[in-house]
Amino acid sequence: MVFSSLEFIFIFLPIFLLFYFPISKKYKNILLFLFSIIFYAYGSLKQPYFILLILLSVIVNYFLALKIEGDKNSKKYLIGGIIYNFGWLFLFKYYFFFATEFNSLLGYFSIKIPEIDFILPIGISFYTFQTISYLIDVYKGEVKAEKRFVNFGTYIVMFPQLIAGPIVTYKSIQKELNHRKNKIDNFYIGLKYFIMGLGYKVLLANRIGSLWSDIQMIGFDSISTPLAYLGIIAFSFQIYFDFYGYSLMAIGLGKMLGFMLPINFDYPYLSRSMTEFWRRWHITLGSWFKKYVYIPLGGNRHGILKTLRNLLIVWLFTGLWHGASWNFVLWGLVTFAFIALEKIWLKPYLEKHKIFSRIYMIILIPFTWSIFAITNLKDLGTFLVRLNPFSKGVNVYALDYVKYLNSYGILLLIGLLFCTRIPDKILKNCKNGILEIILYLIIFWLSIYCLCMEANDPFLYFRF
Amino acid sequence: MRQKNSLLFIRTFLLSIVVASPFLIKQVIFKKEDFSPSENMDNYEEEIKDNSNTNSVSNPSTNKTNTNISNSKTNSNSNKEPTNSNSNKPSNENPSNPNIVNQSFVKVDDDYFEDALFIGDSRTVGIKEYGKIKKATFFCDTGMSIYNLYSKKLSISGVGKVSLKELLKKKKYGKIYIMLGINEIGYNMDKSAAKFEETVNYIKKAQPDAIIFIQGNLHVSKEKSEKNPTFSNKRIDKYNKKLSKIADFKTVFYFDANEIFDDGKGNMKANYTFDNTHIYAKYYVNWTNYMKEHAVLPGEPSNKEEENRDDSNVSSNKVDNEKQE
Repeated sequence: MVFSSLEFIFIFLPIFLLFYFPISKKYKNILLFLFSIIFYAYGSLKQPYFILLILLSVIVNYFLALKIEGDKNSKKYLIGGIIYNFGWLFLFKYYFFFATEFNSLLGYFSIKIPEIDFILPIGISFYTFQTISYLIDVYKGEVKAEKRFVNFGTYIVMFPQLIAGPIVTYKSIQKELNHRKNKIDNFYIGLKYFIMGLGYKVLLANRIGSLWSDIQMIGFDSISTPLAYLGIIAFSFQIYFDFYGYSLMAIGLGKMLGFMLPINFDYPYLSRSMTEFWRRWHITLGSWFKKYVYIPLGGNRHGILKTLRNLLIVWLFTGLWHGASWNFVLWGLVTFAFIALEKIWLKPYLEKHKIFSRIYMIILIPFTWSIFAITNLKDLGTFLVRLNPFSKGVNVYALDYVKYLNSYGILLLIGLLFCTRIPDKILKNCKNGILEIILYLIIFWLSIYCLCMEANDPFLYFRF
Repeated sequence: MRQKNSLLFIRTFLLSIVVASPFLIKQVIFKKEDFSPSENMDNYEEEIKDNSNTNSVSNPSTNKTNTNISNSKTNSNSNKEPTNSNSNKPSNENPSNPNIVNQSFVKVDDDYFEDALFIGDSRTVGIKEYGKIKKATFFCDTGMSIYNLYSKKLSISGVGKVSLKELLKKKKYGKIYIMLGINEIGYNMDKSAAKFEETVNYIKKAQPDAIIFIQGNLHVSKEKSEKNPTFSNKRIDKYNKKLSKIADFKTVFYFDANEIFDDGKGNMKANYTFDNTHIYAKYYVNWTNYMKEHAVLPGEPSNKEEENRDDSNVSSNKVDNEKQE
């Protein structure tokens, strides 16, 4: 189940809230836990054992944390926990990639390991990082192990952040797990966040994203250079609005229930350097890597060479976290290269010269996203060549970008607008209660309408 | 004040859901199984009558068609391409019993399409943009189906923004290609095929001298076929078969370009497509070549065939005769 679906908005959520608000504080977490399992199960109907897997992880980590806290030789429990959690992640997400590369490398020696492509359990990249952060924090004494099983289970599986984050540390949510208040204000603010997120996802991301799929459908060989740029700009908008929208919905849902989930995006496209970008994009992921990988490795406290080494390690893993494929590794490396470049050389120039930094980012953001977006390295090469206006494609329709500008031009401009602070400023200044209500109602019902169109006539949605 | 705002907001929001609930219940709980298109089929019968009237009155249009016939014959005669099989030598055809299997098409060159009209959906748009056909008319759009064909108004260069009926009244075509189906494949197939046949009949009456080609719908990739039963290749094949029955192989022909894109198992080759439905742009030229290899020259296997065969003189005589009238 996804937040931007009719089943979630009109069946799951209302039923859940109807039980949640009246029920006494004692049972709120159990209810949340149960409903979250139902939420998870609905999305894993074809692989019911995924539910068992996540429950197993909850149980294992619960006991491990207690052991880590109670035992003197707790390090072995920590190591065991990390291996256990990463083990499942490696198996489901990375084994196939590893096996195929291993086999092609050692093919000469007739060594072959089975290449099994496992289906990825939903949310595993996120909840694995959460469990590991929990174990490490308990080990370090930063937080007390949760003795109440339901509370801990709720932390791991609660549906607002189960599927796509934000990645929440136990520390930040502990207080609210134990004590929350039903406040009308919370519900109101949460509802607004949710509607806003829904709008970002359905009205912006889904619509702009079809330009990028149109281009992939044509085939990178046959697009004109202007269209290639339009395409990757469309992808840059899509991925931002999609993820930002989803994060807003998660935060909104959390707020409705009394949780303060951390923000994940802070106007990333206004950044003036790659370094700044990663403090504004998927903030909880960056924080996780900083706290649990970068700083333990020494951070920037042991000279420039070690700093660069630490950054490289962080970025290799950040790349891989996003996907088990070479293009993600490449993406991580390229991102590292620019962050390193900024650290060593570019930083003062970018800070001083506003226009230069904007141009720098306008070029860099779509360029790095293209490495991220195109999994097949050969196709990536073809695409990058098309960005060169002097290159020749195969069977290009010269006026293709005119056609697509006609269809998507306005949408792209709206996308650009929503990358700035302007829409939020307008919304904040909207002190008139009635105007605010009308605005949010329009966003909400327009999104629902679009979802209905998508669900209603599936072969009309996929218009051929 | 803030408290008032929040309450008002929440209450209005909940109220809007209550108001919309009948639509939502219908939407979320009831799922439609057999979709029927909402397109109106009423006006159709009247239009056939209208068109047959106009056709019998306009002689100049008949003349034009004949001139086209002689022109294309001259062209193929002067063509130096060795592989071009001449219309003067039709091969293994039986005019009185056109057999679908034995239907022999001829190979033509690019100017065959100069007086062609292509009607279709987004795949035809692909042919238009990437098929490298320089001069032809394209009445095609993404989302086109046999059900919305008449209500669409498209910009045709040299004509303006017209509907199909208007276009057929304004311009005469020597060949009309139709390829529709993927957008209505989820609907009742017999209904769609019947509507398709009516449309073909309409076009025949509107343009009696045109050769009509029905193209079979392209397959989807194996992945899509297996994932979504609505688009399974079995279903597409079934629909194509119904469409092929509309062809009489006298003035209405049928062919199917799937053989050049298939993986040998009745699916579109997986590496020929990104979205499992459309071939990559660079392959549309292959499609154009296939169409060039599956042409029918005017006056060929049809009832008129006895008069026009082999003799370009005969057709020009015919033109003179009519002019004298």
